[in-house]
Amino acid sequence: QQKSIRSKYVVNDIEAMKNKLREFRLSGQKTPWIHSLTVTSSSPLEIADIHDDFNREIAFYKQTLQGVTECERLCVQHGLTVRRKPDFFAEMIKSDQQMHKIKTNIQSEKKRVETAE
Amino acid sequence: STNTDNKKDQSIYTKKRVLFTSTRGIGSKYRHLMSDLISLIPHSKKEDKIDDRKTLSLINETCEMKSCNYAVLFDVRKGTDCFLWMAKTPLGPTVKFHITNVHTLEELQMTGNCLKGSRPFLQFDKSFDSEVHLQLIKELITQIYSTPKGHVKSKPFFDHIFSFFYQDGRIWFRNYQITDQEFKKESLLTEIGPRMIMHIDKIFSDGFGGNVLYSNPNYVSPNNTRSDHKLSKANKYIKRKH
Repeated sequence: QQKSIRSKYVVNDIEAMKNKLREFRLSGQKTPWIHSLTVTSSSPLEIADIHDDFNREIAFYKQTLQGVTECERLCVQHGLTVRRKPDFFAEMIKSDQQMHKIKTNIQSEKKRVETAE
Repeated sequence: STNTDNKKDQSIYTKKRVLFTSTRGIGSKYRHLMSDLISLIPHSKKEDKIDDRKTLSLINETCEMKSCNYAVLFDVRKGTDCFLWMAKTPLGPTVKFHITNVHTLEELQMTGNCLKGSRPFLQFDKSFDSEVHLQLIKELITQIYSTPKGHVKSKPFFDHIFSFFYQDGRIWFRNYQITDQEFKKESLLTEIGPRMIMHIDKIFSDGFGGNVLYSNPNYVSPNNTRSDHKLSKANKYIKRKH
């Protein structure tokens, strides 16, 4: 009953969305790969139980890894350098302090497991 | 002349700026999420908080003033419900999501890291191509999250990937660091964060306004979830009583 009240306002204007999609695609077409770096998996991901955290994350990981392989192949094809040069230093997203905290956390977790065993 | 034409053609992709803003009372968790995304997106621009939720369309003008062509708004209500708006301004479209299951970069479980300013790879699950509203969302996310080649604040290396999955009627977001492994051809992925689940609510034709082009029949607002929960609790009590 509740559900039917909520779905009273269901809209799915496919024609208008198709027009919008055409309109807001930059210069009317797909962005060149060198600017978007975007890939789509070859087949849809099928996950038996989305609430099974472990297997869901494995599935996410595997599909992403395929995406990485494809992106790196396209980088080479478009003449883009993939890996950072070892002498290239720059600021990271997470600070040294944050990375230190993460490391300490892993070590204390390891110790906890060891003592428990 | 072909060279200048070429340059002009490219500028449509390279002149990109995304305005990030929030409503008042965003709270620490969603403020962290917003600053995480700002630091991960080199072509982002942070803007002051919005005072009036009733005039969101003013964001279009703010974008014009700050020479931004996209906007992301964190609209937090009751201190708990976070609505994420993504828009191409001013002509649209705009997508409104309700976001849940948020984990930020602060959390120690996610051990990955990446360069500030490295351009992300973007990966979408094939299921985004299955329906028109998902195709539209995929295009908008691609335009907002991808950093164009040669952007001034970007670095010419690749060490992380944004992944988008459409599962169980919702969009799942992940961000992984990419590293080489010794003695193995396969790369190693380590989650950097943040994480979130995006529930599609509505798609609007314009920037923060216009017609509703799509309204998700399976979307249940957090208010309704709460009232359903309360109701089921109350019913339990009534049942017990009789």
